[in-house]
Amino acid sequence: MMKTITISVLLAAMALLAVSPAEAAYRPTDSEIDPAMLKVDEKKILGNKIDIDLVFLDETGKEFTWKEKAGRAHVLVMSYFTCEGACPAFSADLADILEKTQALGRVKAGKDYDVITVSFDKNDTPKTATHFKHMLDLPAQLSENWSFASLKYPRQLKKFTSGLDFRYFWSFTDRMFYHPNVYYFISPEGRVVRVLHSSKVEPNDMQLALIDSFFNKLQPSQVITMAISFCYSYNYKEGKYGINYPLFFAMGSLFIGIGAFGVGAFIVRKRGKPKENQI
Amino acid sequence: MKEWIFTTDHKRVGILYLIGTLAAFAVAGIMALAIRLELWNVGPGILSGPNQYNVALYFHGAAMILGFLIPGLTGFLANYLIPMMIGAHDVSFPRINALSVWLYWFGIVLALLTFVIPNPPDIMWTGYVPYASQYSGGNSAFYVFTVHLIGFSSILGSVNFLCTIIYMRAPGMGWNQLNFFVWTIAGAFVIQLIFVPVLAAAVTLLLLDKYFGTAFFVPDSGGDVLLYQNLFWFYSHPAVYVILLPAVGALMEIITTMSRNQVFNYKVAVYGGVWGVVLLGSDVWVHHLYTSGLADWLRIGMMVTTLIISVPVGLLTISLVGSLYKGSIQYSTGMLYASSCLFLILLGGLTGIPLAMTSLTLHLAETYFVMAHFHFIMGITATFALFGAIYHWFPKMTGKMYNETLGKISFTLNFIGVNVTFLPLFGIGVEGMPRRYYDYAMFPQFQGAQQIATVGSFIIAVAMALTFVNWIHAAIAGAPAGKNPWGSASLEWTHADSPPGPGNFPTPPTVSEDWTPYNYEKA
Amino acid sequence: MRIKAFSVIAGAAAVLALAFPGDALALNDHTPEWDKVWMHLLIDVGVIGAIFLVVSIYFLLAYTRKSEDEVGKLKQMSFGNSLAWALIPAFIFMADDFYLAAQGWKLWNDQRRVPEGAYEIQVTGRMWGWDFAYPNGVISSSDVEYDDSGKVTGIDGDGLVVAQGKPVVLRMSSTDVVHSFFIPDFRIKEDLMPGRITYLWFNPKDAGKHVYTCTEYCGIDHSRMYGNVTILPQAEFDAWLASQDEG
Repeated sequence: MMKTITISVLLAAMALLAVSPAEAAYRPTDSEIDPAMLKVDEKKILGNKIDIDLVFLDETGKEFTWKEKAGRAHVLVMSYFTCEGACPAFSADLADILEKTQALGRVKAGKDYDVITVSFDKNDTPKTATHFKHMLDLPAQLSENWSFASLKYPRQLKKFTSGLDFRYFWSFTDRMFYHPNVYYFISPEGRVVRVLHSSKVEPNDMQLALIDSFFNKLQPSQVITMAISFCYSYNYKEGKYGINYPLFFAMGSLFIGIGAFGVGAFIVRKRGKPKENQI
Repeated sequence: MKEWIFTTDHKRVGILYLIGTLAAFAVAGIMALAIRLELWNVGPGILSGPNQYNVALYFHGAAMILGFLIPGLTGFLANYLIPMMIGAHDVSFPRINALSVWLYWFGIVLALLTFVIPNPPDIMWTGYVPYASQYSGGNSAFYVFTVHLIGFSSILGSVNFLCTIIYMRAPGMGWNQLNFFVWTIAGAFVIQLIFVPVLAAAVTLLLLDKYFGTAFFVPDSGGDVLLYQNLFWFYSHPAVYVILLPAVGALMEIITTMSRNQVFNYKVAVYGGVWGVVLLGSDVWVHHLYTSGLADWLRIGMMVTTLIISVPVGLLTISLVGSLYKGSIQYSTGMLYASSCLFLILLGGLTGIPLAMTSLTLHLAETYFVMAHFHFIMGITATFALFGAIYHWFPKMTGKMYNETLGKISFTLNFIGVNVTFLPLFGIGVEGMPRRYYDYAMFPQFQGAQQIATVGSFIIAVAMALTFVNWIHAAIAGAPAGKNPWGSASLEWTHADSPPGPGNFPTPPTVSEDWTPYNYEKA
Repeated sequence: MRIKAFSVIAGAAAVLALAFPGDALALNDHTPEWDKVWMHLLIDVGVIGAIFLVVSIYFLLAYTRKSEDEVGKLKQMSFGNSLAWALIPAFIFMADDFYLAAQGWKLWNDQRRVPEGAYEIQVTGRMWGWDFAYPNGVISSSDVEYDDSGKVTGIDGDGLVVAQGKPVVLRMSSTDVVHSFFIPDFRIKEDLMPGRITYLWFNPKDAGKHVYTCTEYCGIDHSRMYGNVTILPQAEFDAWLASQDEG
């Protein structure tokens, strides 16, 4: 309900802006955007399942649904392909972080996960997608496993974005979309596992979020990967991963008893055999 | 009085443990009666409300496990028997031993303060976060400090007894000549030594979260809710074996003595049974978390380890039963308790098998079925073993004989009582009756079974009262028992007086190569 | 039964690796299968228990002390016998364990593998009630009401209402402490935690009412955190959902 209200208020605000451009011009840009409005409520959407029947077109014009994507974890980015400012930079950032994450050595694009950018602009087509991808000039390995998709039937857009708590609007003054810059981590079953805000993401967070997204598919050979993920715990307030301190306290405490026994045994040995008269 | 409080003699330390454990048992038992009475009817009962009920449950669980079972078996029994069984004059560190019992007594006092302080803990003995750390209005600190004190006492005891067993055996006593009970105590103390600190760490972090504003287990601030449960059961499942192993050890001593037989397949029971339980017991804790939302593959993995633990436990059971074979059985009250345990251990053990299976546990978890299961295997089997042991070594401890007839009557009542109490609970557990319920308005059909159980609990209460009367009367006015009334071949009977004097043995024993505590043909 | 057990063990790896067809799963109701596995288990542990019990009772009765100076005649076992008494029981126990594990395996897959296209309801546990959010945004709750004496007087809210014959998947989370959602009649339960998502699914075959209740200790009203799963025929369910939307 809240969402509907927010959106209708926004629509009204947009309409107001449209009819009174003069007034809008005097507004400082930042007051137009309520930052809270652009925040994705992570807790609310965790576990949401992407509509697996929606038909997408990738940058080559090929049709696909999420059903075919199932079985592989995904980093999902929402963007629009005619964007000239923030979006390409944002995508380039992601490419950069993913490269650095790969350098950490535990997760690999194409093997453990794929990247998908979905346009929320109803005017985008495979053509604009190709242009956008070309402009990004991605490294070869990422490029192969990163698709740029638009919806085949743009009127279904709401169906896709609402489950992601993704809200955006077109600013007539700035001639651009305002939208949250977040990475969604989608499990092989097509469910939202984690949402990270792009401004805070370190390679380590990226790696841990990726591991989280395919955790149930970890193979026995990836036991170190699993151990790494146990060492960290996700902090909802900060939207980052932190060290899982209790685990280390507990592991450390394992040595207390054994150490105490060592001391005891040492003392007894040093003391030597009890003398007869002690008995 | 002063010589008792400041004693460093292991026998007196043992008796101090015994008094503490029986006090904890009595109070926790009264709580159990209150719980059973509350459940007599659907709806509110004799207690003032759910909070009082929850506090009673908390105290019953925490006091029975931390105050009675673990200290009863590893504190009292180990203290009294281990040095004598291995032919030593005392433990390695007598003063530290005294410190252990003091810490334990402080722990008991802290636990008993539950009935005095405002807002007593209502967090169950499991103390799950975030309820215990963020939401409970009770003073969880009392729980945490009780765990600290008794845990610390346990670690000191472990060091002490492991050193004693390793370095203070009588000259000539080899590893395969040890009493079976000594082995089970060694196994139990190895578990305590390694795992108690993990529980202490987990509850310490709980304490910091509750009173000092840290966020170790606060999910919003990066805490991991499931980690507490994992750490808790990482200790608390092995803790079941800390209770079960010495219980089996005590049963074995009673059975072999009263049937004048040796331990059936001693080496397999020791190296396969006892040490198999110690090794495997540390890798099965996830079966407490089958419904907690852990990854499915982890649950399957731990299902396999949990099922496999039936192998060492099975070997121990075979040795218990086998030790009766071709024996010469005399039925003392202690032996009656020991024989009944052969039934109880089956009932408790076999009902554990469905709980090892993930698929069945999805329904059975957190129901009365689980509750009845662990009461049989951990509560009743261990309590019966401990009571059997108290009867069995009563002549040694006091030099006097208890009333055998009264002992047998109270045993019969006790045995009937536990079955009347807990067998119906298996039934309604499978039907879906959840644990820790103040009211069961959603399941009025279970009222009949609840009432039978309540009747059963009062039969147990009568049996316990008779038992206590018997012990107290016998300790004061019992007939002299003599040095070795059961004709045992174990050192504490053959070489020590009843009750043993300072230093235990008039002359320090040495043993020959063909001596074993079970060699009745030679004796 | 033993023969069957051994053949199962022989193919244990194959059995464990076997993937059960997803479509058949979708139509499976856990309850009869659970009851079947449960019966198997009761027979299995019953046989083991009976063997041990009969032997124990026989020994206890047969070997009573005949004279004061009698001693037990159990002999030290030879190494071979001793080993046999370890390995043969160990093998039998292991065989039985794996037999039982295999028995529960299909059920476990049924329980945990959510069928495609199951109707998804978001469950939120809180101290001390439940909220069920439907795909169209409707939220149905259940809270137990009781009077001053503590006697339960009724349940406020419709609780969980589902359509007959359509698999339902519950996506669960908690706003405060750990709870656990349990429907005894359907033989399923799973915990709800803050900050984590857990799943549970069932197939409501017949119209009717069943109790759900909380099974993880969560404070003072833990035992008053229950309600009813109401299973309605599709048309009635649609009408109910529509009426909730208006309200």
